[in-house]
Amino acid sequence: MGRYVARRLIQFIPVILGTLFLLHMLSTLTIQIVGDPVRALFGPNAPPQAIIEELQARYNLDDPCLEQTGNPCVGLFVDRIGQYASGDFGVNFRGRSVMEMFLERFPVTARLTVIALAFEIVVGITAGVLAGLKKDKLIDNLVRFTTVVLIAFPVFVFGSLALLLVGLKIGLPLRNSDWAPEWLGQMLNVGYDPDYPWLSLVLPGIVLGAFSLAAIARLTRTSLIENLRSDYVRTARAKGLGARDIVGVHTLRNSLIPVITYIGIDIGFLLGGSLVTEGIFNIPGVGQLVFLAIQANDAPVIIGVVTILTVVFLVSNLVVDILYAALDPRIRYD
Amino acid sequence: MRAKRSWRVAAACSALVLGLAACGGGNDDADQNEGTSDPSTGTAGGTYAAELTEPTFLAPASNCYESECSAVLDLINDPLVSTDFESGELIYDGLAEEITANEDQTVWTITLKEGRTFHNGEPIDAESFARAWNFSQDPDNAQATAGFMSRIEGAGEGPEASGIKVVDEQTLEVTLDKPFSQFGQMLSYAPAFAPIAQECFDDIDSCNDTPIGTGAYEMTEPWQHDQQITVEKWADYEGEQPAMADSVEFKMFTTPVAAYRDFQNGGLDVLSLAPEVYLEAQGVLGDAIIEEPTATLTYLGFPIDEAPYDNKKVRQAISMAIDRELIVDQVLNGLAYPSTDIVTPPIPGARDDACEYCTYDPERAKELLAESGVDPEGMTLQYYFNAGAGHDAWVEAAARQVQKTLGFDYELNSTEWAQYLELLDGGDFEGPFRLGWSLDYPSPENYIRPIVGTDGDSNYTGYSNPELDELVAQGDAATSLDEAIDLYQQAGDLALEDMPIIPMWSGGTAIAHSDEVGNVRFDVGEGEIAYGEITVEE
Repeated sequence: MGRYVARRLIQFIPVILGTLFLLHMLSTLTIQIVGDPVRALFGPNAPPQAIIEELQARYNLDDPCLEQTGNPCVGLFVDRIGQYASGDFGVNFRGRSVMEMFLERFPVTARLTVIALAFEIVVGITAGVLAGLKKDKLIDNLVRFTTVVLIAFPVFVFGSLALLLVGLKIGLPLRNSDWAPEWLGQMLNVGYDPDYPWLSLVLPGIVLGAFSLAAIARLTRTSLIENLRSDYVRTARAKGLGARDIVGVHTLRNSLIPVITYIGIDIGFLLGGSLVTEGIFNIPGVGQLVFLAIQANDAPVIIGVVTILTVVFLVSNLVVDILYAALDPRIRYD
Repeated sequence: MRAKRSWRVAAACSALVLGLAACGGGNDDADQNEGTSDPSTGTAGGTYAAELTEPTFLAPASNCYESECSAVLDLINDPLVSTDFESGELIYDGLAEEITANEDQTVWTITLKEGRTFHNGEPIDAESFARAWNFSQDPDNAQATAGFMSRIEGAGEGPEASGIKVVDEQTLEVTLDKPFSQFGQMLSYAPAFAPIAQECFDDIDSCNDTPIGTGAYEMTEPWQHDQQITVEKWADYEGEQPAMADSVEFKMFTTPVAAYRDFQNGGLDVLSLAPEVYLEAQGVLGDAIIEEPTATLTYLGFPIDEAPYDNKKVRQAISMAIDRELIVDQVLNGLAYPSTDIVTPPIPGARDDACEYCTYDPERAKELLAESGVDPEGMTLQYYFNAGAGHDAWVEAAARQVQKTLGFDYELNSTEWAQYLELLDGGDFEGPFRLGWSLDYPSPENYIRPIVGTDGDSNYTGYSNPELDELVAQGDAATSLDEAIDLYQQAGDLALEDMPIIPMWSGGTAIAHSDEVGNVRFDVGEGEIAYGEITVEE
């Protein structure tokens, strides 16, 4: 187990370096082709040249290689790795520390992730099990139909509709009414409210989890149907075990392995923040940070945050891989 | 209170004139209302919420060169002086008691009011101004508004400019490198010339989060980046622009749609409507939306060294072939005002009949083209604009009108903003290019010199007319404001005859507000809503 984890941790290094290099190339090429982001901070009336030069130096954009299209700027890349290795993720164009901004926003995204995960796991697995057990019956058809709809709808449409219909049309009268409890109105809010750090994230969390919910329900269903036909289930039945034990103890545990794999990848995605959902509901999370940085062409933020997210993604995947062993005794890490 | 608070200058969204929404402008209905029917009926007190885009910097104020930060800074700072938009004269409703110039307009003496302090109790003295201005002019500090200091003698050469001199505690003497009659008007751009407290100067980073100001409002809790800025009434304020509401919450949103939804939800009381939500809001709110003109000019510039744009008659013909009214109505939802001058209407000295070639007259356009001797047959005009800022539709509409009237084919070129600026700086445009300009200070000089003056800050056409430069210089040295404005207008006339740029329209803004607030108006000088005047209804 220890050796396995150590091996995986060593594998992180080339992945992170590769990611960094890709990001570095993309941002370098962008600057080389599109132009100097420092100049773009100003409008048509250019500030004195001395100021542009001072700002370029401040943001490490004064290297002449940035003017030679196609030059990979290896020097800058090495500098950046050294900087990141010492825990310094640089500053944005307004002098704010990237790490600080990330840490400020991460708890919000983490809460949103927890809500979305809880929603997709509880509802998704329940729906999948019900559908799997009653294959081709009404409930199965219902689950299959709903999940197709959920997968087919782009998040942007689904989120905007949820905000308009649930958040405004239903939620607003509730928040304004005397009879509805406070928590109910807040659960159906149109945006993030720092006074209700969990409740106001419920609606966006549901929107965010909806796509994965559909995937989880379908994975659970298929996997369960397949396992119900396997030999060990027949043996269990022959032993006279009740349906509850067969499904709950034996089949479901095996059927959940592909689901856990999916959830593991999903955690990584969710922790990266959802650009679209966080944008629609104005949630001050990591996704919004990346969204704003892309708008402002703020390369230090984009590279810094995506690098941190890569690490988060790798770690969450490692944790999930270790969890396999707990679910399936046949899997051993040594 | 309203009569005192007049048109100050600020907008300074020249850095942001990417789209109509980025900057504001407004109308001066307040000035016309003065003395007759003042609509300000609300009383002081209460709290309201307004939408704001995340500002760049709050401290030092000299790093603020856009309407977002000046919206906040104008509440927490008093200006040095204000400018009346009707007459163009200075109004001493800020920190300065008097501003005088010597005979040749080169040495300016600024006398400060006695007894005023910063929020932290430090006195507002000549030293606090000298400290701020010296910091701003030093290129090592890379301040966004350093350009405002460039007229001061010795600016941009080191940590201290020789032209800034503290005479005594209340008196500051500024020496300019050339005569400049509009220096007083320029001083009314508050952020660039704000004083800085020693406490703020010692720790600029923490001051940026909790600025120490001089105005009617103060920030008691730090700036929550990308989320909220709250300002509260400062109990010890002794100035002449008192606060109405007890506190104002500025909330930031990722997208204009999210802001509008929060407005519908009752979370916001005041917001500027972005083009994305304007039509939807108009359907719901109708006449409750406040629409006012801004001081932002949108124009097409010509590379006047390239054929056929090197021919004055061609430039005039193109201008007359464009139906600005139609574009404004059909493409811009009526939220703009067709240009009649290079100077936009809210500015003192702007005229509504200055631009002979800005009217739509296809017959005259054809005649002008015929006189020029240029044959449009087989000629394709390249039009340029920056992408993703809402310019696609109107540039194409204008290009089509030119094609229909004059017969020039067209091709549209759009690039990212950074690249666009690079092409501009390099003078690489081969056809009409879109640009915008908004005021730094309310003087016609602030339009004429940068846009059409030789080597002007925003002159990318290559246009150079010594006669025009001479008239602007004479205006700079003029001893009376009327004389100065007259000279600037003469300079403007030369440019409007030569047409190195064709003025298209000046912008408009739309503001929505809830029933809970009153007295909402647009302050064209600030380039933003006059937040300090908004009252909260009982």
